[in-house]
Amino acid sequence: MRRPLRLEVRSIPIEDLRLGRTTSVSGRTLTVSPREIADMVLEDARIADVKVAAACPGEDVRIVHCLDAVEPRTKPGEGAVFPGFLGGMDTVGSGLTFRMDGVSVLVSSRFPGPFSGLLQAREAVVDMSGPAAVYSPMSRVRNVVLACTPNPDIENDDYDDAVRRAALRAAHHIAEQAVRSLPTAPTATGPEAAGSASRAASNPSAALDTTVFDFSDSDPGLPNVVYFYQLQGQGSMADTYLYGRTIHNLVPTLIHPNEVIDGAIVSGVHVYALYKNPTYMHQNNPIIWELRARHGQSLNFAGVIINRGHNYTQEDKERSSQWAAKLARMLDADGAVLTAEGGGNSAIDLMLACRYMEQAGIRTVVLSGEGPGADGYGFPLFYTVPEADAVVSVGSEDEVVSMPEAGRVIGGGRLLDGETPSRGPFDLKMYYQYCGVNQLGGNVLAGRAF
Amino acid sequence: MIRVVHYLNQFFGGIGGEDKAGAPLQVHRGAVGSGRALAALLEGEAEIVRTLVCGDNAFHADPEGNLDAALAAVAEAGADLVLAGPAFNAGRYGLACGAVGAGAGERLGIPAVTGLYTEAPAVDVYRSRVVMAAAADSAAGMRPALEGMVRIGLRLARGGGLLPAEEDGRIPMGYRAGWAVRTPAAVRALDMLAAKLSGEPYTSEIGLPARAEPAPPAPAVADLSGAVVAAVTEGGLVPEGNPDRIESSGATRWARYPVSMFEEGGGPAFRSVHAGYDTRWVDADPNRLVPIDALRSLEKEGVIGELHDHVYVTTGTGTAVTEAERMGGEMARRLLADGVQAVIATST
Repeated sequence: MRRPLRLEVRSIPIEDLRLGRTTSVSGRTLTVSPREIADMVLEDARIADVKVAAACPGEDVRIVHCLDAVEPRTKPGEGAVFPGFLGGMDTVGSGLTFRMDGVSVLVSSRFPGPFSGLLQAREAVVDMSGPAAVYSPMSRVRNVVLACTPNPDIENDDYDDAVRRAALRAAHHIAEQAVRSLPTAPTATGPEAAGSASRAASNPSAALDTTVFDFSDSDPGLPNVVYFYQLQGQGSMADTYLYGRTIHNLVPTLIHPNEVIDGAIVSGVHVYALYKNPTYMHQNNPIIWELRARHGQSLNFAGVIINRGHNYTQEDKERSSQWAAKLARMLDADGAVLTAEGGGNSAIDLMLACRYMEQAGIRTVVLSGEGPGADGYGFPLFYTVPEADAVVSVGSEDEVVSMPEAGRVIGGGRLLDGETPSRGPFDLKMYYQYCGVNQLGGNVLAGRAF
Repeated sequence: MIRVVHYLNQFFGGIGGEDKAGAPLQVHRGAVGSGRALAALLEGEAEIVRTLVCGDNAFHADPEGNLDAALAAVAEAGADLVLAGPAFNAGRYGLACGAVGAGAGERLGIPAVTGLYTEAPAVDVYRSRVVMAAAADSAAGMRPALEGMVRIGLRLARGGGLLPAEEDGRIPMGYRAGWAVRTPAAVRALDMLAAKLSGEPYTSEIGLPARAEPAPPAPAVADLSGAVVAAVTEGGLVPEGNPDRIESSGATRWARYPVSMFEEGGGPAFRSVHAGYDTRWVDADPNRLVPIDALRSLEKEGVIGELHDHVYVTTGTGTAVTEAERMGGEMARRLLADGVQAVIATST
């Protein structure tokens, strides 16, 4: 990737989250002001009420009705952190970005109106402790939960927009306030200033752990690896946003990995919880972080191809998968890692891309959830191709999780079925575990032969 | 102390070789034969309270009777765990170990572990019914086989569960389940890709299907004007209230409804419970999903002989392949029994 983007991601490590009067960081403790956050969220009349709560790993807390999760980020003195939603339509992926390491802003809400068929927000549960905590990666971070109540007079899609923006604004606000409270408030660093020793010496924030995303140098002796990054784009309640716009009519296209890491992709997927990739997972995409770690060592990270999954027809699937394989060839790829979001339909798009890349001589590895049936004896993939001979499993969708009684519940007294008390105990299908089977590799589960 | 019952054949039970294969089932107190090595491994954790020894031929001369007698002895001994073998690659002995192990689990609810070589005849017969520690193909591998049986068996006897087969040193039982792993998926994926790019061996975590099973298309209907045609859909269209409780996704149920119910004034309103598409347009007019109106017209025009009097329905989203195969087979058999020659299958 010549003509580079150079991004420095500076991590503010947080090990404790508290609610308090002002939002700030002291040591490794983040204090969040519920009043500040609520005032900001309620500026949007589409949201009738919000309760701000903290949920930390190990606490006897269950969060229900989870929608998006966002990692707090800010780019002091620079442009937007979630372009297309906050601030201008700036190309992100360069300069200096601060991230609150170990923190998420997690939105929980019901929707104001009824749903039809596919297009509905489904139950999504996170347990912060106990045996079910392993079923959500968000059980391992400190969550600032925005438990929102919709204005009953607005449409579902309108409300969806409201809660998405609320999460993004809150996440930006928390990071902005946190950075301001650091011993010496930093300002923007251009590519030329970043890494300057004198600057680092005069700026305590430069002592924070900094990860550089810069793929401008490539080693001709190493294989070129691309990342095929399939996003869910089915419409209302199952959509993903690229620079603030739906990906619904996207043809496969190139995006710089730094843009992904820097907030260019925002989730609007509220269907089956196990497979959703919230904004947090895009910002922290494990594949991109791992490719970064290996860039220049054992491979050249040659680019990211984003693709809309769930294309409606076979022709559309053929078109986009062949297009993606063509882009990989144009990037001179030797290998590719492929991920998808959602199951069923989207697996076809994913596997066809695998097929056409392999046919073009590009070696592939596919990440996938699996569905071997309730007894586990069925063939685990909904759809596969003979070329998919290297698959990494991220867990089984067909399990039922025994959820114990929770000490405290955030988000609502009953699950979205309208009957089951959220406090439990109850058995809950894996489908409703928030990011349980995360196909970006964000959770710890894998399907295994027993 | 965990109480163990150990099953052995005549050879490992110290009676003799093939010439003693007719020796009838014997019940001993304590450890016998190769069970002494097992007892040493169990020391302090568990004790062998009974050893059952039966000749290889004798067991299979009356498998039901011997199994009943063996299980009666297991119950009488108050066993917490049954260990059978290891039988390595042995045919008759392995099958007897499988039968006793399966019986202990299924009839008595007592955990059981045997030890077998992966290609032993008993593996295919009992793999899903008995926990099998992976063993070598001969008694040269006695000690590691016993160690595996003890490690797994003690865990099960204490109420613990199975680990994935590979970690457990077991022969896979044939099912898959989720498991928390230490190495992140991104690391595993890029390690696998590195191996693939450099031509080194790698193992996919999900293998390709064992065999492709293309469904050969049925021969064309020679004369549609004389054929009975049925409407079948996976679109989740059910009468109001969903009386057959067809699932919104991951269906395990299907139903059939009289065509008359779909036609105007014929019965309760229909709606789709399908969770995989926007159902509003189908709810407004079910003919958009199941074209009964068009099929009636074709029937009147004589293009088709007759519209079958039932519509077949399930939900096709997130359905396990095994369930889909079962339901498809059940539907097809019913349709054939009703004399249907052709199907219009509308998918969503």
